[in-house]
Amino acid sequence: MLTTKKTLSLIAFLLLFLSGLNQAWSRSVEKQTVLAVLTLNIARFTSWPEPAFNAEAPLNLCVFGDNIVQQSFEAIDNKKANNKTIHIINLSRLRNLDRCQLLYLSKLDRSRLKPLLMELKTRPVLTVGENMEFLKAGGMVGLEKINGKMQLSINLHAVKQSKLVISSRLLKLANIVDLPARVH
Amino acid sequence: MDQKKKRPNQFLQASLLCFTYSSITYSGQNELINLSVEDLLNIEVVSVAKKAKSLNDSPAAIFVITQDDIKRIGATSVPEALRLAPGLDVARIDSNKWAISARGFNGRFANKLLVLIDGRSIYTRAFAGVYWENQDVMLEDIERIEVIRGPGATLWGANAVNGVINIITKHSADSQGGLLIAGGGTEELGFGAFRYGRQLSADTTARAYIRGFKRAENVRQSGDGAGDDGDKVQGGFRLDSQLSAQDSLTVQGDAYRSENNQNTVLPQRPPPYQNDFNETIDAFGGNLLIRQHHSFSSVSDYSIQAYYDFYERNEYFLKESRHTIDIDFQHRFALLDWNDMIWGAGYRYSHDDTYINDKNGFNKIRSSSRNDQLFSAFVQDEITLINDTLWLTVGSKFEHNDYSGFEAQPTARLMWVPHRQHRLWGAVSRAVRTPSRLDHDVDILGRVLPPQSPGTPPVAVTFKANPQFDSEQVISYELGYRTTIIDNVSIDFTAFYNDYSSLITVQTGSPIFNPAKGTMDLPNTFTNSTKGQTYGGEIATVWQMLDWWRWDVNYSLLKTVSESQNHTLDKSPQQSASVRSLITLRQDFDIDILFRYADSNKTVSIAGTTTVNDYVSMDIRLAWRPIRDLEISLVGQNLLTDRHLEYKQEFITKPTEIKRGMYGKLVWNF
Repeated sequence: MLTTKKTLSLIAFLLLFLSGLNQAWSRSVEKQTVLAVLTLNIARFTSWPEPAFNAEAPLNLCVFGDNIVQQSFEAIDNKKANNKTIHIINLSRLRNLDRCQLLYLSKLDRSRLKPLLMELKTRPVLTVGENMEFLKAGGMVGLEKINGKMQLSINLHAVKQSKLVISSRLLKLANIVDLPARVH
Repeated sequence: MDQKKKRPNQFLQASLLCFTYSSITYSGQNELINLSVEDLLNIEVVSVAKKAKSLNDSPAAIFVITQDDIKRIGATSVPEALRLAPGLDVARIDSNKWAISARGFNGRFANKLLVLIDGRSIYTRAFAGVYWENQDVMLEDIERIEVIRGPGATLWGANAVNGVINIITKHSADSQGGLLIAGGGTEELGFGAFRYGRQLSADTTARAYIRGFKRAENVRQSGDGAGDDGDKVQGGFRLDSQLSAQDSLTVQGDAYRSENNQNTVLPQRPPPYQNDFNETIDAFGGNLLIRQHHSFSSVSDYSIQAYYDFYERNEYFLKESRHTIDIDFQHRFALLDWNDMIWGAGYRYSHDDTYINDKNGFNKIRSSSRNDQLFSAFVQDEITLINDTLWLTVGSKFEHNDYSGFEAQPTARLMWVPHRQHRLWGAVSRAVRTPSRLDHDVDILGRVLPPQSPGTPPVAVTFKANPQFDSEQVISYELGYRTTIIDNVSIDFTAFYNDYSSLITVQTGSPIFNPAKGTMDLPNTFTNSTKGQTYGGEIATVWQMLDWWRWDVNYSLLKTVSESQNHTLDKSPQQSASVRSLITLRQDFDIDILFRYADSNKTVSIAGTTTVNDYVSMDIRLAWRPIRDLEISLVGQNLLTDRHLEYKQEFITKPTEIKRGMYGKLVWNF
């Protein structure tokens, strides 16, 4: 049987051991947090065509994803992008997308992703997703972790089609792809 | 004394301080927000094993076991992975057999839980249940396992009375490249797997795998070997092709062969009235599934699926083979902008050849072969009452089977999201458990009681089939609440009240002298004469204490009320709990611990009702990734005791205690 004293020292030792070992963590940032902040920055470098929303209206950033994705976007709610206030809308269903200026799509079945992006093709909705698969399906911006760092990819073809303009300052940092969505 | 006592406390305080300090990482979001895009693209990013509630908008008690979960508890089979889900009673009978049920009624022949692998039902009509020892998948290719407690009959059909388990494998595009697994240990004597996936053309990807294992035997209470060792080999493939922008096709299949040893105990007329021998149960089977999916738009699509499934199982007492063909169609569409409709229809044809060993003169099967048909259709509408806030789902399954005829299984569910951190749901549903081949067609000699006094005949307790045996039914009431109100914590509460009727009951007839065998026969017949209620709830909690340290805590409560004396319904622990800690010390090192507690439970066997004591068990996994694509892990299972009993099988085998086990494993991705 362990005495209280022994148990305490054991816990203490374990904590010390763990705190020593996890130093590596303090130099890095959790991916989902970076995704949300990067999305905010992408919004800042994007201009929407005039009729997309009126001058006073907020910039609606719609998030489709699980609770962890949604939580990470809470931090950028009410932040400014140019002279607009970001308003986060957590989507439960992929409905009424007309209100979104930016749509962040976390994981979505292949079979549903493609038709959705096809429907949004000519609408002024900036679509942001998490990998190249997303760009190939017709998405505009892909954020992917490659070798421990985030890589930004932009599908210029899709951006142009929707009449959105992404600042050249952002394009310079991005891996540019020019992919028309594959139609067989 | 005092001083001595103080020292460790100071030590503890100091280390706590140190610990707290080191956990303040620079991941504070406010700091990040001020970074430029260049900086954001240059910082070191880590992915964390956070637990997502991906189905948190479903008005049902859903728990998702992800690929990461399966890996990090060191599961070597699907049942081991299922131990993570609250409300599921997962009890290991022996090395290869399992008793798994949701919300009570557990047993080797647990018949109120429906299980599907990629849309293919693995619930067999033979005895109404799942042969878990024969159902296996390449664990690394599982995308997720959805465990739904409560009736799921409206979508999935009969026998989803207390739950549905959907095992969903990865799209072949997500399992590309090579994967080699090798390992072994004390109980898992040896296992290996190889998978290779590649792109066949611009629009087609595929993978193929082979996997095998050999397991050691467990022990009896006496300490003697239980003779339950066995092995299995399984292979399979999956191919996914994007036929056009709107159409995709999936073809997949598996084949297996297993040889499991068993110490069989069967009753017999001559003294000593039972016969005890070792045998090998030889089983093999396979399946082929094809599914086409067509998208009209993001809110409208249809899928058509067909599969063929075959198995054969040979043991002394029972030889059985079964062929099943199933065709299923589903169509989803939006109506008037506030209805999401889904409807479908299906047909299943099943042919079996069953042989019951009748050498004892009592066992009998009414027809050695039977062809069964099942016709089904369903419709379900999700109505948006208030945008993003309130939904009502109503629907019903209608089916016709050859055993109990027509069945309707409706449901009504309400989902309310008053605030993004709160979700409430409620449901009322009906579901049925349809009769099995065993219920309708098979007579069995259960046991032979030795003569009470010299000159009196032995008593033969027999179980008689009843072709009039009807479906068991439930009306289930459920409530659920999910919240993320506390930072980094998500809590999922569910409560249920299940009202059962027409439950299976063994009705004992009057003893008759059997001159041919010289026995007093005590016939028992299956009838539908019991009512009963269960109520209880489950709590599933996830606490992301630190980026690299997560806790999962689950608790389940189950109360049973039976209105019949001769039928025991409470065959699952009243309480069970699990505490799981997942630590990723460094990006290349994990320490994972799982504690499980199961209250004592009853098992109802042919010999009567017995109790299985409560138990606590602990599993630990240590994993190290020296290079990115290589992982070495060490897993200890059931570490707290040498051996413990989880369940006693109803018939045929003696109680088997599960031994402590250790194994090492190597996983190489290339």
